[in-house]
Amino acid sequence: MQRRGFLKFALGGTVGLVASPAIWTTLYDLAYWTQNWGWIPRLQNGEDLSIATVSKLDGTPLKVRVVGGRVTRTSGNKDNAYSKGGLTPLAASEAHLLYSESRIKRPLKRGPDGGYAYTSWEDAQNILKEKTQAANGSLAFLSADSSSSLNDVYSAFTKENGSEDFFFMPSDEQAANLAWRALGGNDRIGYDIANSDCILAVGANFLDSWGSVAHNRAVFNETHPNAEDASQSVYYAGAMQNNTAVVADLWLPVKTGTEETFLGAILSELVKTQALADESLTSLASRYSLDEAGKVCGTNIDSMKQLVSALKNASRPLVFAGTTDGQSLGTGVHMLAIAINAVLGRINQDGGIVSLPAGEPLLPSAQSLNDIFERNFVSFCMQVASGSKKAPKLLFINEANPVYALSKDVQVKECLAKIDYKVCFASHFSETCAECDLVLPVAQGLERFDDVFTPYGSGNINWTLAKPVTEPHYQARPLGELLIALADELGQDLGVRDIPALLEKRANSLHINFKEYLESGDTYQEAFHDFSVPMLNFMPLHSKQAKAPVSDIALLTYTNATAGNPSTGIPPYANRTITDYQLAENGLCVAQINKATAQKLGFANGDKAMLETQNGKMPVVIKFYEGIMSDVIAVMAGLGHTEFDRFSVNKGNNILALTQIDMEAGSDLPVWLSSISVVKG
Amino acid sequence: MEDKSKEVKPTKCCCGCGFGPFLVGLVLALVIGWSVIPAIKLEEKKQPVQFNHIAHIENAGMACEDCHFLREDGTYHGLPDTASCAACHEDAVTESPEEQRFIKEYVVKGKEIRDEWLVYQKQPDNVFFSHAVHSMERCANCHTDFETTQDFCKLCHIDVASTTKPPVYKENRISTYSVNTMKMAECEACHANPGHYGTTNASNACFVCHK
Repeated sequence: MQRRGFLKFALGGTVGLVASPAIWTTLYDLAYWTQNWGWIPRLQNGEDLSIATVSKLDGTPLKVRVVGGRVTRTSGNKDNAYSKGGLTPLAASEAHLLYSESRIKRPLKRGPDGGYAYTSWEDAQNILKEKTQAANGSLAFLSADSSSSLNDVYSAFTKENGSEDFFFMPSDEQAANLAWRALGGNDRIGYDIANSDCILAVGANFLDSWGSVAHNRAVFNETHPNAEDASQSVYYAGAMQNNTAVVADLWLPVKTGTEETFLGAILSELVKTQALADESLTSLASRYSLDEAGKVCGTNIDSMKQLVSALKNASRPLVFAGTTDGQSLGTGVHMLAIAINAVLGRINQDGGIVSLPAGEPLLPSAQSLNDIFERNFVSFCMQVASGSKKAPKLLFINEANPVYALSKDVQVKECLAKIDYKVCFASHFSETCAECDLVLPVAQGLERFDDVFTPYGSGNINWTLAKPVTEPHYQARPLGELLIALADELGQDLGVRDIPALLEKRANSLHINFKEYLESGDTYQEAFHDFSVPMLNFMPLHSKQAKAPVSDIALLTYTNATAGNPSTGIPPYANRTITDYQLAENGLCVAQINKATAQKLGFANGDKAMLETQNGKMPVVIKFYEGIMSDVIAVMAGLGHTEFDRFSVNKGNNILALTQIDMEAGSDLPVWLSSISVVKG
Repeated sequence: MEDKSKEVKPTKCCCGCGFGPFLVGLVLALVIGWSVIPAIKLEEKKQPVQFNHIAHIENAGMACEDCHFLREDGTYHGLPDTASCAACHEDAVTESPEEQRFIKEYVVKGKEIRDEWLVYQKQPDNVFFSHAVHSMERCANCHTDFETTQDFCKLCHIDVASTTKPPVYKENRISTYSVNTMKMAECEACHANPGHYGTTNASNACFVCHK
């Protein structure tokens, strides 16, 4: 073939190839081929299981999908009669937290240079043994979770080693139970939300962050069927139109820090039309009035009258108080709420306040729940920091993060500095871990045996068993088993061989079959049946005095389950749910106020401002939200972490550290103050 | 002076137009591009068992849903396992040598047939497809032209229900995917159809399929 002929042939071939799909489909195939490069993660197929258990983060019953031994998804458990398939954001994040990069992978020991170095479990266990022996009774233990039967192991270990200093983090639960018992109530306080036909929640955001949220939402769904009349009315009193307020029949704005005045006014109005046998209650009620509450709380008087009328006309009203950030209001507010229920005849009645058995300790040396509530971690810290109490030689901290969660007033860091040796048991590296000498990775709720026994906010005795759905990751170990083994090495007998045996004791105390509940993952529920009305003595209430707000502008801190909790940091995927109304684009926290308050303070939407208390300053961005009542500024808690992982750090500031506290006379419980000053930043 | 009489004249084809080489190249390339290269790219594979769908449906009276069904949690049980097959075929029920080979090699040895079965429409790992939301019940709300489930399944799958032995599985040597794997454009035929937005809530956003 000649040159020109060849060129024609080649041109024809090229045109033919271009006109055929060969080139284009090969490019297509090459694109698909890149999906199969070796470094691209592959699906790990395997046995596909759906296991029923419970979230140890907030007590929500779960179904966990496990494929090939790997947890892939958490969902609500529709077969569970307590939650009826409800799922909270925190429980949904369990799978993500299991594989979070902030997990502590191996035991960490602080070296002479102040930094951490990995060490072996064998070394860590030797240190634990040596330090416990050296402490010789000078030991304290802080636990974050009051609903677990494993606290019996922890408190028994503390007691066996010569100390009764076993604490929970301060909470609504502690304050409410102390209030209940101070007035003469038996056992633990419970709230029968499911059987009430009219609920007044003061501050307690019970459909979002207070009590058993999944259960509360299930009750709300049942009592509020679509296209039918609701069988339960809900009234919410608080400074912010939160998730409870938006679905309530009536939202009554009440300025933060004036809840006592508000509840006192409701009590006084109820007492007006009702002859009471208890004169102490009548005289107490005379201290308050709707007019005063209108001025102090900023609440509309007609709305309060409407509320009182609803409570009187309801057949099973229930009143309870709480906080939006899970901290503490002191006992006074809870006592007033109990007093209102007493006036309405709602003590130990279906749909009222009920006394729930606290459950006898399962181990001989374990401390009862009420004994533990009597001890106050805030006072402990402040006394140790000030030197008025001798610092223990050894402190164990289990999954709590007091360095982050408590006000600077509590002086946690100063307290820890005075303690010779601190051991933090945690699954994620928190701000508190950073202050400890030994940090040990413990198994998460999905990796261990544990339980949720009648969590705060329950209206009946209930028990859900947590079981491991996967092996502990990295080198994490379950703390309960670790302490039983340590006690054994120290020659102590805690009275139980392992955690399943402890949980079987709990099942036996409830007269139920342990194995049956282990397999089903259902929640055991025992209806409230003690209708004997205790003789409540309201004299302790007379020593309480509602305090006037310290400043014109009140601070409201609120938690949002999507931002995790102090022990988890912000769960990886939860970041996407934090809105521009909580965290500004420039990384500063958002302070939400309504337009009227902003104008009064001279702020425009988007202005920078500086919040200031005696504990320091915090820059914020002002954003208007008409769901905040006048003269209140709301900031979301859960931001401003300095530890955990890249998902948690560099996001705003920690408002919890900025808040101030006061100690309540009588109970010596901390009361979080709402005082704040706001200046242009 | 150059001898112009010796100058080579351009070759002409039989018809005298001079495009002969071009046409030869064009035809050859078209043949290669349309049939030779595609054939080279595809590797043909046989299924581990020559399963007879017609025999199971017509002779044994089985329904499609006996083997292919949605589990309670919404996941799809696409392929029966050896244990399910062994429920009937623990011993041979016909004289088919293929059935006897299946019993000998899989049932007796406890070998899992699902691990070896080649799935014609298997989607890559980066695609999340739920049979539960692509159900006939949902689509038939508007598309009333499906008379049987088989008609509906045929929209995406090869009609294996009408076969006496499985079709040959063709795997692309470059991409390693089955030639029958649905391409994104085929998904978008429905997902990108604005008419579907109001009735199915299935948008064409990336995260709908790529989680």
